Amino acid sequence: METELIFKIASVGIVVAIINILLSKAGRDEHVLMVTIAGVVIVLAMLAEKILTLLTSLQSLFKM
Amino acid sequence: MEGIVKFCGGVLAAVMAVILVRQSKSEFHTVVGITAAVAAGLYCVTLMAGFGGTLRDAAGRFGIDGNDFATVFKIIGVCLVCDFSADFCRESGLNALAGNVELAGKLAIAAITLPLAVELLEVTVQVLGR
Repeated sequence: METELIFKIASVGIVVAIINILLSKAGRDEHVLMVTIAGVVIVLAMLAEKILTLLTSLQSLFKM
Repeated sequence: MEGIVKFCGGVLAAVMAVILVRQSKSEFHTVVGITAAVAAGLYCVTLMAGFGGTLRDAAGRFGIDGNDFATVFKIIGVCLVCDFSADFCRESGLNALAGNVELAGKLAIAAITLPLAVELLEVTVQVLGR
């Protein structure tokens, strides 16, 4: 099982949360939303690749 | 044996990661959970890949029609794909979408099974002698 991807995504989440706190403390609330959206997009891109792998392997295994 | 222990360890580690990310009150814990589910599903698929050939051989040896066996195998695949997708929808909080995915899966299975059901009806009619 590929646990490294799970931890990579978890660490991206924690880093984004820390950056959000720092930015909002520094009074740059307008950047908080952008950082969050960028983090979610990066993470979803990684996830989409894995979902594609899962679905194609199921398709080839069961000859659908 | 070693593989399943590693798998369970990985799943528990993923649960800990989800709990850790949930503390930061970001929406990332859903994504981490879905990633863990995808990784676990990929592991299950690699396990299933070992069974496919053996099952097919056994079915051939016991005189089961290869075509029928392929249909059953295909239905298992449709079930798994729909189940995974519906679970991801439900995990993201989209219950209505999950219900629709499950309905689509049931309809797809019905479409695959329909020729077999018609065949069964034909055999029944033949046995009844009409």
